[in-house]
Amino acid sequence: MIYGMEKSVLISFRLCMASVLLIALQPACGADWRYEDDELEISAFNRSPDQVASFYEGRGFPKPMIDATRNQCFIVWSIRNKTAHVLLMDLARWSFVAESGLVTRVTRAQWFKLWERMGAPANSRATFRWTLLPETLDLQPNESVGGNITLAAFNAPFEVTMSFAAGGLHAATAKRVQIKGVQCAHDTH
Amino acid sequence: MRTRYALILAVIGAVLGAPPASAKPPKGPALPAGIREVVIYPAPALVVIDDAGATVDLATARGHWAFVHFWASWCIPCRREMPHIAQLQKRMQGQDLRFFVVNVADSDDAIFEFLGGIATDLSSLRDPDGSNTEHWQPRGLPSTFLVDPQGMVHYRALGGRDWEDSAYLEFLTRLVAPAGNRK
Repeated sequence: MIYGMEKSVLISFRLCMASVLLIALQPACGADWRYEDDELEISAFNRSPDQVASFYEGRGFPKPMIDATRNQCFIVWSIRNKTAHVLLMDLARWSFVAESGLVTRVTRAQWFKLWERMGAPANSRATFRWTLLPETLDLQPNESVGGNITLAAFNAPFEVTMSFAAGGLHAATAKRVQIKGVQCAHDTH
Repeated sequence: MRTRYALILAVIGAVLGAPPASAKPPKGPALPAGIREVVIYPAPALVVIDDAGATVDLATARGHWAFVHFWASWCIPCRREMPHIAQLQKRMQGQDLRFFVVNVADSDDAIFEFLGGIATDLSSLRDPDGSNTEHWQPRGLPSTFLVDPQGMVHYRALGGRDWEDSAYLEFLTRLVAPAGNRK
């Protein structure tokens, strides 16, 4: 158990040029990040604007919605609670910090406001909602959760600090995981 | 005096030790991995459409157990799980379990393409704008709820699973069996 202390681990950071053989499986020219210990298994993949656009285009999203996604940075997260107890995830307690300062996260509520203003179709909104990582979740033992975290487009690497609380949101014992060198993906053309 | 105190303490002890008036019903079958018992609550409304465009209402399943499942074509675990649900449906034929397999907000084409590739025997219901699904508040997709004959949610399954596995088949078979036939 690592509760109450900070653990900073960078497990895997693969650069695009080193993963030429994986390009067929991982079309983005980007990197992926993994973290695993006895309590959590975490992976993250960045998605370029073209990849994000083609995903939503394939689901019939109207062009204004697609265009709105192009201005943001999409990182797909997968998180599994390996413990025998509940871990509370709250994205408001995560931080995204670059050398030059904070990277702004675009929240689910902000997206919904935007879709509301645009008059986006309900089915597209529903699909978009399900592709986002939940803002808060009480991760059950052995439960996995996945989805996008969206950030304001950013050109430099940044550090993600994730916080998971055991025993409730205001619990004194929080597990923190830091992943360094995370980057937004960019289109290669 | 001591006797009176002892009597009072005995009465308090008996009251505190008594089972609460709203004690949970007797335990059901043992739970296989990923199935969670929930604090029982009334199932939200579910009024969706079938592949012919006809309305299908969960309320029509009253008197039977219902397997309510939400999925989407873009969801990778859904892709893995759907063939197992198709098989489960076959294996549970003749038992008191009604299936409500509900697609969340995909187009007809996306549903057709998805099921055509992995579960041709399965016909899915549709929640075209995702509003029904919102009421159910699944934790993610895929997500499954088990609703009793009185319309109350008892269990939910987190994420996808191999429903053909004997642990799940036995669990469901025992769950839906008439009370007198439960082993």
